[in-house]
Amino acid sequence: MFGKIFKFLAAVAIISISVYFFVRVYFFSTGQYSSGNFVFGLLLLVGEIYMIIQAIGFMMDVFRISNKRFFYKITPLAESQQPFVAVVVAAKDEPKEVLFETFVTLRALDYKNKNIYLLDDSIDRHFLKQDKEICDQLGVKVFHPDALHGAKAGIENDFLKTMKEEYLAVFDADQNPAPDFLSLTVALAERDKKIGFVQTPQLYSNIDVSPITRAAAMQQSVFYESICEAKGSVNAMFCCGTNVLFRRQALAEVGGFDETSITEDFATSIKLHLAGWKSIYYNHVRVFGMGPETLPGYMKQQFRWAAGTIGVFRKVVREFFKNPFRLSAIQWWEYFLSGSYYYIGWAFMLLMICPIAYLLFGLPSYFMSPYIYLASYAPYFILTLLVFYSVMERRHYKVSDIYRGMIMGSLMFPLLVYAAVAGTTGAKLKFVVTPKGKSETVPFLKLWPWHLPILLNLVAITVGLFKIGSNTYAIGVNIFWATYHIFILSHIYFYNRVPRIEKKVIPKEFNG
Amino acid sequence: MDKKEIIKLIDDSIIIEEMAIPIYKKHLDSSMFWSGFDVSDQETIRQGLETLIRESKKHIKILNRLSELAQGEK
Repeated sequence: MFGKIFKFLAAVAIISISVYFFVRVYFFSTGQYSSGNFVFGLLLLVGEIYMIIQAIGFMMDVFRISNKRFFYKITPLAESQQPFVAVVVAAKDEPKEVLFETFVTLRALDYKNKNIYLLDDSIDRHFLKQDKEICDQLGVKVFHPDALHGAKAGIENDFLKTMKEEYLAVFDADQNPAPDFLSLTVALAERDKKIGFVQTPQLYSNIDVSPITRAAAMQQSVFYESICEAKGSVNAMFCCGTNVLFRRQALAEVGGFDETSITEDFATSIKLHLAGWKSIYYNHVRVFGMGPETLPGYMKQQFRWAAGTIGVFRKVVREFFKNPFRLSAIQWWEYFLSGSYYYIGWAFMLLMICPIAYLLFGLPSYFMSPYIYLASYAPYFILTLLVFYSVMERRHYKVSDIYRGMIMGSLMFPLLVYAAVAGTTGAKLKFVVTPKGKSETVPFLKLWPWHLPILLNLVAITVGLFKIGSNTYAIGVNIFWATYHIFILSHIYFYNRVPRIEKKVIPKEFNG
Repeated sequence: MDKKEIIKLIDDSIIIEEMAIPIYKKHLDSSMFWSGFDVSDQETIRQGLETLIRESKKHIKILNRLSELAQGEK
């Protein structure tokens, strides 16, 4: 029943989005305006088309997953049939408390044929010594890279050259798997020798530490619970860097992890899919982890993901023109959607500039009657939100938390604009680990990319209020949007606070 | 199975009981937020987890004793 309703809603939403798109394009192409207005209107149209494509992508995901959830019935392999797995944690200068919990849970994995390794990329002697001690105590082997790489892919590739195990399970230093992680994922991978990797979700369990963690966790949920499941249903799920099991042969065949990208996971996935390997998304939480706790931490993570993903998007486009038939149409579509997702910062910025430009300089953006605009935009806006909230509500998320995740996504637009430029221009970027356990905030002055648009919107609203008598409806609508943008941007002060980090404690005998 | 293997199995079990279970418990506790269960159900589950922790402490004592016996210390 629910499935049918969702399918219907998603289909109606796609129709309403398409109607809005055609109305917008029609009025833009037939409107009368100066060349300055044309450029401005075109930029806005591009931003809107981008949003429309992403919205259609999400609706298609909902459409695909609304009929059934992709459950796998798994029978774990008998011990005698278990292939060997190298369980690796790549780490650089990680706190020992974080490593301790991860190693304990890796030791507790209910799978006989496993070897656990720390791929230690630390430089600091203090960390090297500490890592060795904790590994010795917990029976973890330490692997050092051939040369310092500074990125996860480099040390993983060094390890790949030496490993003998058939599978490679990769975890970030702060990810704690449940005991059945390997027995389930290996059994899945063993079903078909063409499966290159099995990805499982990430779940942040430190949500009470700060509002940032909670909002980041919510964003992860939207991604892992709906989007990934839909990607998985069409063999387009990409690897997310942790909580994943790789077949060694698959990685070896494509030359290992892609070291040219700071999002080596996404970059390696496309190589594997292009080489004909399959991916599986096993949508059951089997690993608990830590989300970014502070605004600086969240920003570092988002910047890396955004710039790295857009960098890979360039490769996706190149590959598409070189080898258009190596992936199915739906796989390309999914890679295009994910690869271009982080341009959302630019789209948001363009949309935010419009009311300011109209209120301050009288620059029109839509070139259509306000009534037609309302009649075409309202169904698109309402239906898209309705489908999104319904999907999340069905999975027990509270409206307040969904709202937090959405606000957080929009709020990061200045950072995403910068990251998109870096990613698109192919700027050389350094792999930065998301910091954990640090109580830090962004200095007030460094938040100028948020102060500035707030100020501009305030000035625009003030000017608009003085002019409101001249065109009450149009100016009123633009004042509404400017106010809405200030509301979103002002959340930056709420999120920039010191987290309540509970210090992890490890038993005395492991404390050096 | 030889003595060395038995001792390793016991040590693994001690690690699970002594260190891994509190880690799982902590994660499950804070992940209850995502479950969609109402508050009273969440409380019931939390109480169940507490019981597991108490039981686990008993197991640790037994396992430590077993380890000592297997190593022939006492």
